[in-house]
Amino acid sequence: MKFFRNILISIFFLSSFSVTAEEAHLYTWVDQDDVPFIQYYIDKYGAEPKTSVFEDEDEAFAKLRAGYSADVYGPCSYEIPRWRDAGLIQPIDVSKIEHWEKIPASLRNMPGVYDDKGQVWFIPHLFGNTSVIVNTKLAPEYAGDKNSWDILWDPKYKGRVGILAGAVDTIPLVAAHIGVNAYNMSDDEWEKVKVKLRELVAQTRLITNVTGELESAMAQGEVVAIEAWNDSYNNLIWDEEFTDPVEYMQPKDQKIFSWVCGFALSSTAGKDAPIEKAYALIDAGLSVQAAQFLIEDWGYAPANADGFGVASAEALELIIVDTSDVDAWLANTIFQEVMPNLDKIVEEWELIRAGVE
Amino acid sequence: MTTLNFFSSSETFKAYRLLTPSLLLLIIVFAFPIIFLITYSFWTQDYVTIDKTLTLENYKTVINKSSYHVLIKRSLTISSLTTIVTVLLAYPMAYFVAFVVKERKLLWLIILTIPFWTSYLLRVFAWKLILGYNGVINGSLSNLGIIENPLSFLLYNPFAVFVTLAHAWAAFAILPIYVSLEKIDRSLLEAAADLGDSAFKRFWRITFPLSFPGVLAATLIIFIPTTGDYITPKLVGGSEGIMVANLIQIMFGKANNWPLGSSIAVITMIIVTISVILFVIISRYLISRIK
Repeated sequence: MKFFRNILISIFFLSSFSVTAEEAHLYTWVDQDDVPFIQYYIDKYGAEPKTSVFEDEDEAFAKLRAGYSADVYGPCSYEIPRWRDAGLIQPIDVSKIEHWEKIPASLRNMPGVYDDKGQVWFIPHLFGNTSVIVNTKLAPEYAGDKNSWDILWDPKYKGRVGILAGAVDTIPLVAAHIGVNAYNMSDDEWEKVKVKLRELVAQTRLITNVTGELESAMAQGEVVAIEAWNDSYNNLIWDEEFTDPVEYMQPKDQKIFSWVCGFALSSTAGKDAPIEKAYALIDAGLSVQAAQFLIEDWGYAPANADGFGVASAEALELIIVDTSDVDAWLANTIFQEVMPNLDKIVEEWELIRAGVE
Repeated sequence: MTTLNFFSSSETFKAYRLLTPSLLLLIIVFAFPIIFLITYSFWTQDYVTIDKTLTLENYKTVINKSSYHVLIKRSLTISSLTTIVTVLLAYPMAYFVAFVVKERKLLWLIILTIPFWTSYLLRVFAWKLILGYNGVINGSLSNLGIIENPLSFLLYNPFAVFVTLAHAWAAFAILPIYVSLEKIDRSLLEAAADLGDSAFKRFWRITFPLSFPGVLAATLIIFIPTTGDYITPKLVGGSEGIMVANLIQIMFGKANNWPLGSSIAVITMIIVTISVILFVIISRYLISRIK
């Protein structure tokens, strides 16, 4: 009897394994596997896709290099060159993506989407911005027309500013502030940026990747300005206990940054689950309901422009984007890209942060 | 046959046989990673691939780069301070439980370990709340009218790292010291008292030297891991509190340079080992000089 029981148990396990293996697997940022992002897939196939999440792309990259795999990944655009060169992803057939045409042209043609041969490697899903949020009650001289990233270096606010730890955010922003293009900078220019970074580190109260920490420092009045993504601005507005006026800076003489996150197709896609299911997973993220959820619950702009038509006016106002002409609005921002020599820059930035270089 | 008999009857063989499971586990989870780490440190990173030609390039980089040295020195300073203060604070507590408490010792020991029932991360966050801008200390001081604006020097500096580490590792100091104190034969102390030694002399000539193995164990248990801690500096350290382990973590993550990260780790391990050996030799010599 025991023998038969064991056989039954193993059959059960094997069958449950093969059932789950037929669904596509999404490996993405924490929370980007929320139900609205996969509902389209569930409706289409009557089953939930497999999902797993990462805290940041470096963790994901290391894990994938070590042999982990899924069908669809959720990195941001600047990660694509490295993932492609490491053989982790494959070109995407956009004709199989129902919502492709809904994506504004500027996003479809942004750096990272196409390679030199015209193949698509990245499908935009959502975008947001990197700039500075200022508490205009504490620093009224930087309000409205007087928005300026200078506040981060203002001696008056020494020890009262916070910045993002990520090199992909902070280095290009600091470079842009002194007129240097971080995506194409000479060694001399990098030295100039480093000087500015050292000054900035000396000014800061906190440097962190946890946006919640920056927001709470802002909400407690511990800092007067933070370098932040625009969702932090939403969170501060939504915070009922924090009543100080805040502005998401859009300096007159300075383009702010736009980052775009999206989908890449795993080089192993199509092996376990049919590749159509992988494409459906991408379409699920691009669906209108996902877009609406992004705007109303997260404060991010969706790549599917139809989302702007269904989201509440109140939520639309907070995402900053001029939704009447998304392409024109994006053209007035700088797309985040990959910095050449990123690994070296990341290391030097860590040493500058530690105050030892 | 005879050799087999010799082995199976030998005490050493029996000991090894008993040790086999844990020995195997140690080799798998401890020795292999160290071997990988050392091997990696002789390779080099070439964008997304690893160049497996053996080279000393990484070690040259570490030896020539003064900013790395500053970070290593900073780590050693913070962890030595943490170790000294933790052991000094733990000793009286362990002494109290070993000598003064007569009943329900187990209960006392359990009470001492209560803070360690929560995760390490939560304890670090707890210190963030205590030292924070609107934290417990600042809140109390401003309620008492002692300060007007919150003190900002409490958090995001080496001091915060040191306080957090000292608290987080306290139990690891108390327990070994307690065990060594508990073992001391009380009749020695009675004999010393009968022969006219003062309380201080009894402590200095009997209790302290006999409890020293516990102090030594506590020192090592705290010094070695705190030198390599990266979570505490990351969360409460600010810029000046960043330690060498944060650099190593960056190398294995964002900077994507495992070989260089490995060689920084290997060099840090060598320095820690040398410091520990020196400490053990010197302190044992000093203890033997107590008359």
